[in-house]
Amino acid sequence: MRCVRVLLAKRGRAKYTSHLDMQRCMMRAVRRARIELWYTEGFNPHPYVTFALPLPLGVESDGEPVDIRLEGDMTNEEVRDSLNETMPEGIEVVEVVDAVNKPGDIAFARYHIELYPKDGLADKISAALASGNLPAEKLGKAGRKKVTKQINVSELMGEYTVENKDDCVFIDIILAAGSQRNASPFILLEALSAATGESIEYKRITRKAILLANLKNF
Amino acid sequence: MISEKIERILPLVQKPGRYTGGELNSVVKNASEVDIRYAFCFPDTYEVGMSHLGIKILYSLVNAREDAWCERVFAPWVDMEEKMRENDILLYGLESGDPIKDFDLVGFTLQYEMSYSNVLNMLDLAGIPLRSADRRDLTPIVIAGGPCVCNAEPMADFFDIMLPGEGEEVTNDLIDLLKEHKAKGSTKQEFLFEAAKIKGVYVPSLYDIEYNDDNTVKAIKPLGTAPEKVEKRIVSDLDKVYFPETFIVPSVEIIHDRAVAEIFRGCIRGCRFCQAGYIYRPIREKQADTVNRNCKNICDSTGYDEVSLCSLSTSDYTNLEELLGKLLDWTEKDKVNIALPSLRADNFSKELSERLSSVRRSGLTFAPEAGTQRMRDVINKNITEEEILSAARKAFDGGWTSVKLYFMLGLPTETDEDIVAVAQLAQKVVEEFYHNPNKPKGKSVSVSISVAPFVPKPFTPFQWEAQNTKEELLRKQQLIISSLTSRKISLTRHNTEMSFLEGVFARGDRRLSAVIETAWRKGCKLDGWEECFRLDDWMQSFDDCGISPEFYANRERALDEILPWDHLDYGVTKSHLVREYNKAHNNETTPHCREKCAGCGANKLNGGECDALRESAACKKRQS
Ligand code: SF4
Repeated sequence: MRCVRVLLAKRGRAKYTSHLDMQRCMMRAVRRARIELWYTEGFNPHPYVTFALPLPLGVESDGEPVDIRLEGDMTNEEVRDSLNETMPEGIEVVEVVDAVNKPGDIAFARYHIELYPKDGLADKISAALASGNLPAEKLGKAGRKKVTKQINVSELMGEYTVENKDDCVFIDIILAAGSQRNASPFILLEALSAATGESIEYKRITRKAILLANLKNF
Repeated sequence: MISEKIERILPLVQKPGRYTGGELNSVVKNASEVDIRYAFCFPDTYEVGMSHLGIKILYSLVNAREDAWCERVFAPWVDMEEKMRENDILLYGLESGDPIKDFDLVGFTLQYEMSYSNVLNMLDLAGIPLRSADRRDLTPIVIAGGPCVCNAEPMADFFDIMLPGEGEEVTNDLIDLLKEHKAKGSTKQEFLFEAAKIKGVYVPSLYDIEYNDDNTVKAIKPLGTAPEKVEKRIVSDLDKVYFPETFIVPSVEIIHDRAVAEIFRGCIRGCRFCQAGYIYRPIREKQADTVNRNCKNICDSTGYDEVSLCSLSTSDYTNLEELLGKLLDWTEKDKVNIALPSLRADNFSKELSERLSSVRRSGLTFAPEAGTQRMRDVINKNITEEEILSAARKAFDGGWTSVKLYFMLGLPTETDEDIVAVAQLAQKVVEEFYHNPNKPKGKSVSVSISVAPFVPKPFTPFQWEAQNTKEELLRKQQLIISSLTSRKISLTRHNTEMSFLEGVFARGDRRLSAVIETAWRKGCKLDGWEECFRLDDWMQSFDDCGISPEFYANRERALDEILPWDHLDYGVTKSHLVREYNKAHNNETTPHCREKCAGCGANKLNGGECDALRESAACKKRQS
């Protein structure tokens, strides 16, 4: 048995495939590609196909890591090519690598956000991002109950740029990710809408990279 | 591809993946290179529609033609519809994103009556006039298929064409004809008269219906060259008929997300309440090799890890053991589960049970349908209490701890004794568990019973019966509840209001078209969904149109009354249905088709052939 990390690009209509549906999609692709999976022992054997970090619905990605445990002696390139022969539209294996870091080590993700243009929007957003205070409400769970928590998105973001070009506003930003501290690009946009008083509509959001605490690629 | 207009509303709706298309194995063609564009519409949500085998077959069948392109269309959920209307987005085909009003054929499959209002809603969302008479151009031609077409008279005003029977061959015939008439520049009327000459094509507008003063049908008169009777179309040889090599793999989870292959059509049982058991006759089986190949093709090309065998009664398939052997040869290796729905309790053999235990256990279901032997004799559900209990025993022996029992309520001649017996039978199944020395240790049993109101359907021996009123059904449901004594038994009831409306449409005539349109204008849609169903608006609509729904649902018909579906011929003769009706009222049963052919008449559709007939003859020869 060996564990490989498949990096999946997700573009176009495929962005509407949810996290759970992506898991099913991946399982089926592996089966179609006739890649030999490793199964757990025991009464109800199951394979190991795990996405390292759920991607929010509606977000595209340049490379989502999926860890798969394999049997047999397919090389990483063979795994990539056989999967790419059978992937649905918009989903493509960019690379297959050996899994080195653990999903628990994920600390940040970098997003590229494209907004429908509005007068003065870029400046307002820059000011809001620089303010250090971007309150937002986050849905969470306390035990079984659903609760809303107040958070400050500014505490959950890293480097960013805001650009106004070709009739669009582009935000490039690092946000906290992983199971402990995290902020989705949607919560950022909500906070920005509240702070700028504008209803911000996005055109496209892409997760460009998943990063470790030292900002190196996962 | 989806337009930016659609893209902009997708983030605002639930499960947007239902509205994007682009799934694996979906077919995209160049619109300018095809002659016929076909919108296959399922009048319910994506999750329901995509689970349906018929759409998968016809989709692939049409797309196998170079000159035609078939796309899928489903009913958008309430939130999506709202956004579409707000933004002037017309209902579009999932493959191209193009509005279906520009297509040549817009075909709906009518699987259940409660989807009728969705048809109107989808036509309206598409920008297509609702009524056939208001659509003057040759295209789009709006057609209907599916089991409800055996009496879709309540929808007669909306459809140009209905296709009674099996769709595989007639769809191709119709496409050929439309292509020809488009090229010729025919009028719609010219085309419809020609279409009506094709076997299995019913053009509702070519029939005049006259009514008696008591509102029953007086006469059904064909116009011009339209045939007196429209015979349903069947496929003769299931081993040769088109079956897809692959299915679309949905990107959003659907209800039955798995490979499916059909094993036979028709049913040998002759349960008198069951419309499917009559309208799909005669019996035609597929060979095990064909089914095995179908299953393997689909699993290989989709990556599905479950395959389900589809028929009305899996265990009546004569080649079941052979097929399971062939399937297990590769499914075990490929880790594919085999699902066998519609297994009957009475021939659930030990061998089968053992083979099944090597596939996934999903729990066991039995359908005794009624509580007493007398009641089961009336409905010709030829199964004894001992058979039910011994099947349960075997199941418990095999390690199962949960059993589901299906019953019907409001059957003809039913008494309170029959109803109390439903609860008692469930109780006996519970006791069977505790008396079983081999019961799984430390586990408790759960028996769930589901009671569905009986709805009399056309082309069954009960087509003349009165349906119980909502009030009677509620009383009977209460009677079961108060007869239940064990906490191990749970009860699922069905919505009696929905059953009432289903009953009205099932045996309705075309005067109901006005009611359906009125109700839709009041906002009725997605009636099969509890959260959307509003009986009050429906009742108001009946009132507005001066039509009594009870006339259709709760009235007993005379055996010689002209029924609204009498001009359709589904093979089974009326005299056979009358015979069965009389036997039912004498508590007499009819043996199943392999024991003895009951002479239903459906074999004439297949040149006198019926697979059950052949077997019962062979069987007799062997015995003598
Ligand atoms: S023809 Fe005879 S054997 Fe065939 S379905 Fe009818 S009754 Fe059954």
